[in-house]
Amino acid sequence: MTGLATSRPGGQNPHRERRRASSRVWMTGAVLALLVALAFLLSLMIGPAAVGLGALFGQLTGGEADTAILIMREIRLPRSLLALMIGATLGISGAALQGFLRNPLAEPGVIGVSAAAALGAVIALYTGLSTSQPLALPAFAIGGALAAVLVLQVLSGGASTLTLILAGVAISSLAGALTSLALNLSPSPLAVQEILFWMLGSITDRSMVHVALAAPFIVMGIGLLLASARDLEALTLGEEAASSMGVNLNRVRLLVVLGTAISVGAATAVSGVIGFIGLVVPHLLRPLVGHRPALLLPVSALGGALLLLCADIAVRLITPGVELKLGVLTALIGAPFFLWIVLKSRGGRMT
Amino acid sequence: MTKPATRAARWLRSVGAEGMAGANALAALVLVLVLVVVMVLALGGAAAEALPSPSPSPAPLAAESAGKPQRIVSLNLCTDQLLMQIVDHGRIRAITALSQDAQISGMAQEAQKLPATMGVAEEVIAMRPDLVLAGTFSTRATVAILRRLGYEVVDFAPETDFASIKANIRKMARAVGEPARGEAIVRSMEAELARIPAPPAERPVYANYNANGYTSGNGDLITAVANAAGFDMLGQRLDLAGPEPIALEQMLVTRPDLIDLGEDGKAPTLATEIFRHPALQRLIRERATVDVPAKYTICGSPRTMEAVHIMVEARRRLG
Repeated sequence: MTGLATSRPGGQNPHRERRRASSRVWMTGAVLALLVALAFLLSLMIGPAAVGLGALFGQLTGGEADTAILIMREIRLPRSLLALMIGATLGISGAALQGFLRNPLAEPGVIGVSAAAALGAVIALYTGLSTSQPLALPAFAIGGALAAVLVLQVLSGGASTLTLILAGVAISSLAGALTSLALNLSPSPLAVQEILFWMLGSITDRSMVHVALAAPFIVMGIGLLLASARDLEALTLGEEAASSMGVNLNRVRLLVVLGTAISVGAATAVSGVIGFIGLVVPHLLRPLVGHRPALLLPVSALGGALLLLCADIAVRLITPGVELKLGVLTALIGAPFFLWIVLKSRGGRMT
Repeated sequence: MTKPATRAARWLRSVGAEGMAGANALAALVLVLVLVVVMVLALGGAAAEALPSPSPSPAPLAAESAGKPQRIVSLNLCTDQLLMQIVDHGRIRAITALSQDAQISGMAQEAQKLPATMGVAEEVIAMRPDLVLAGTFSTRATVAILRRLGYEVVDFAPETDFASIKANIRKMARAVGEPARGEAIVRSMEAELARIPAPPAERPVYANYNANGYTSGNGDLITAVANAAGFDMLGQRLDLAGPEPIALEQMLVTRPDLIDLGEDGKAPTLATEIFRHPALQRLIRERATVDVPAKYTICGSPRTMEAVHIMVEARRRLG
């Protein structure tokens, strides 16, 4: 991911201003990467079995060390990997959508892409389709996400911030209602409780099976989004200016739409809807990378991963036993932030 | 039926004179037709139901003194099962539909031969019961109405151990006028419990692991069953007050001797996905497992002894 940050188009511009900015970008990227690595390790260390674990590693005798390794490898590692990948997905897709739609409020959660992906996943899971064909789970979620992005694009093509948000609210509510309906109609009495999982997300007790299911798609989606980075930069000047600079608008559209749908779809299929990360992260990081989308994308992936890893550590610490849903925490951080952006943009200054 | 409908349509059309097109008139006609059909059905249904006249309620209050109740209605899965084991089934007017579900009822076969009720007040009143049995935590609104109307309602607290099972058997037996039969059932249960072979000094640990990672603790009937069969309960060792979710990590660290995974539901849910977690599957391959059907431990009754026997057998296999 960081590799792409070097391929910025500004390399041939030797102004001192630029150079200082680029060193700041490098610092930002390096610090974020370091923090992500630390959070990842911390995430491996924290869990309900924490008290015993140090002792277990100390003894390293027979069955007990086996247990410690089993917990690490089969429970905490998949959890941390999922936080890393899903956080990166949400961060980068938020940055890409904001750049592509040129709208500061665009984010997979807010504009209903995640909710539609969750609906797809719910259909695959509760009809039993994913039991016989595991790939149906990410496939349906990606299908849902794709439908949402396409509908959004049609509804809000070039229109105001307001239209986009309204369209997003409509898609979110509809997908949420249909998800609840599907779970209410499920013959299993336990299914209804799971509405909460799909609306607020969680990665508790997921396994390597889930990682294997989501990872290929997430990597593919993030790759597509990164490939759009350079063209997004030109798009900041407006569609006409961008196409006069030789940017193929259809290509950007394809990359962003597919990249978002594939990565967010796969992420939501295993974690439920986790909101606001794609909103908060790009906004916080944008000033640090000189408002340049090409740099913002990889940095937002790191920032998203960091935020979700921290949120997932926090839910384990705040209420051990019955863990909070991840989306509760991200909404507590994200919703006030959302309001702040709205207030700021009401003053006439859009980021 | 059609005549008022067409007239209504004509009226509607006249009202909407210029605005209403043919399609709208047709829609209005369909709507009116549907309304008429619904009303006719409702009236017919009510007539077929043939509710008893709302004269002051029958003789429930005098039932106990006059003799044994003969039209008993039970509104709770657990009272259903106790009732079926204590009285002749001819005296049972209705039990809950839950009792006919073999997944949760230890007496589904017997229950399927009896009339079932959903436990709604008007349905119960229509059955003119002379005794209503209810659980202290279920169908409270129905019970309140029945009491206000003067029906005899006896409440039963959920059974949480063998002492409360015995107490409920005796209470039920008194309520239905069969104290001797109740006493006999209690004595045979006590004899069965006394025959259980003594556990080893170091009691093995039993843990159930149900949907959403719930395991049972203090005050759960399954805990009493496990103790009676010579096991310590994982939930007791962790000092859980009743069923609580425990993390998969905790299961792996504590490594119970005997593990009882809950049953998969009728339809796919995330709640039972944890049963297939690779780490749990590995633990299960390394430890002994048992399947104590939930239907024996949801409610306490003489049938609960089935669960005890299953666990005693599992302990014998552990060696």
